[in-house]
Amino acid sequence: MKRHRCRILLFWLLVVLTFRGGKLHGEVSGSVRGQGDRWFSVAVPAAVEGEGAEAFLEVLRRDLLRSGWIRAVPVPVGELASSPASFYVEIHVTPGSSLKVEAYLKATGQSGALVAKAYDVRPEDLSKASHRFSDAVVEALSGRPGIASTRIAFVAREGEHPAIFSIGVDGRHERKLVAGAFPCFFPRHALNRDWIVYTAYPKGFPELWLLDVVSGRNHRISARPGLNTLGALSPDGRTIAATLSFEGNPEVYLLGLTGKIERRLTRHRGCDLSPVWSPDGKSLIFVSDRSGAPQIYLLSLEGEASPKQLSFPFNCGSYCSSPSWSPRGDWIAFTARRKGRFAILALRLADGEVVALTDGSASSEDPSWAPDGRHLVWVETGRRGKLLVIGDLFRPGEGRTLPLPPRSGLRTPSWQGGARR
Amino acid sequence: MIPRSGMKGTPMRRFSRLLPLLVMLLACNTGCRRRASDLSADAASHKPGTETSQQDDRAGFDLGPSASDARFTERDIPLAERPADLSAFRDPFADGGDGNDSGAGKDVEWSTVLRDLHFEFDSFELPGSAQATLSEIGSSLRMHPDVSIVVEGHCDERGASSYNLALGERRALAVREFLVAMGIPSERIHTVSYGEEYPLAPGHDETSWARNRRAHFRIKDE
Repeated sequence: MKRHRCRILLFWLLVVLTFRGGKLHGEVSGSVRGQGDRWFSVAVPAAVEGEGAEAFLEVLRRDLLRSGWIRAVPVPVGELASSPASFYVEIHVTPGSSLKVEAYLKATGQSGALVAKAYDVRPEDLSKASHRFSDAVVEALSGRPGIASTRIAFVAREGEHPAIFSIGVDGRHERKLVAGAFPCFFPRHALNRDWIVYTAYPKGFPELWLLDVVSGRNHRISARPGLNTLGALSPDGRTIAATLSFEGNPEVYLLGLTGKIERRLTRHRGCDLSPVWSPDGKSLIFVSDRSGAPQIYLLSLEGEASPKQLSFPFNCGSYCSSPSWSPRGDWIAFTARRKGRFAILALRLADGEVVALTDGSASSEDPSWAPDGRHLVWVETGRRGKLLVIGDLFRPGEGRTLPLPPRSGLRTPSWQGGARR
Repeated sequence: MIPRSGMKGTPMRRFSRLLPLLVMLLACNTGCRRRASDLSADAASHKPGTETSQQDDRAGFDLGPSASDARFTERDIPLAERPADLSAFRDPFADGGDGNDSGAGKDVEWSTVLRDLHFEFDSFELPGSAQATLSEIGSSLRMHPDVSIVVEGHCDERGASSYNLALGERRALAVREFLVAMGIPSERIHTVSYGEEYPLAPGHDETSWARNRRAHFRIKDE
């Protein structure tokens, strides 16, 4: 009898452990290793009747899985509310010329809903409703923004010149953003709005431009002699940090949106470039070769302190560049040369812990963080040419390739910030 | 879910069989603290405009309708790919620049004078062999005070494209410094970096890389 009781206890313990991933809004602390094994279990209808419903669910299941936070468990519709999963998704689709979708996230055994959304969409646009709902579910459970409805800008050759494109994180709906009979590159998304700062050569020289993706309008920010490049919009959207060389050496400056110089931030014989804002807008990281080879430096905008070196040959590599700052502020990621190849490293600012996100089997460059502060996109150069890869801070060494048609000159991806359109 | 027969046991036994259920309920409770309201309450938060971002400060900069102006509702998602608008993304500088005119052929003599200079890996130091070429270019520029030149800095494909853009600029600037030291007014020598964009040799070996790490000259069109 005692053994029988033990078995019952063990059974329920297993059920609880299997179907309950992490705590709701659980904070991630300690090492990142193993964090990828934490997730929320969400029961999703295994099959549903009605036009469009299955398509909505198919995209939703994939989106939830890719979010990294959720394991979607297929459950027959009638058993959703009683499944052992902690949460479940309920959908109702009303067919017509436009589909009306009502979607809910509910907690098992609780009344009410954590998320309730109603969409009115054309059948061909159903996937966008799935992406939006997936993002709402991820945000409700993990407390972080979802990434399913975000886009990634990147550079690829368009004929003779590099041009700027963007693509959904599901690898669909590619769009040309900026192209011309001259190079356009280094797109960098703003954190809080759908703006992209980029570099273009309309008159044969590098100029700094800003694209408002929503309106499609382009604005010239700076066209001084020499370099006007690698600009980044501040989180409040008022200032652009950029690399200019009109004073004879590549240095980092702060510019207003009209292009007026507000402040020169670096003053060194070495190259100072690639400024990136902290999410609170109080400091910047940038690349400098002042120590002999490029490394990452941190500069506080408050006070007059000199830049602090963050990456060193002994902990990161002899050549570190292309930094990106997590929207949550805790990690930075960058490219580092290791054993003759380029690797993607993440460095935690609080304690300097360094995690290699790539396994070294290929050369990887140009990381950019997703709004969730967990995923990153970078460019991998391997036997199959250049690919866009989406990696996960909590699953170092793993990556998912974004399905893109083969193209030359693929590089410098930039993940769309928090602004959703 | 608990076997009915289990309810017949002693209070202690009953408790021990209920324990797992309690554990699960407790786990659910801590996990579900953030409970949303019902659809009606949630739907209310999706009135047009409620999902807009904060008002931005344009600081006198005309950006047109930005994200903060546009109304947005979850009920009416702007789902089309807006093909009609794509034209706005293409060639925004159509009425602007003239691309990269080589300027070649403007003066036949120049094509022999303006020879490429080559650099070491990750270096912008002028090689010893560059002196003769630069002296010739300097004297030619002195003889033709109406001519301005553009020095293009190029890199090989290795390294970060961002860092290479800066490196190319420094190669061009190093050339300009030398010519300015020879007495050529700096406003007659323009610099431009193309980083690793336009390799001369397409290969991925040292021979190609050495050819691609270069400063290239062209006459500036006025």
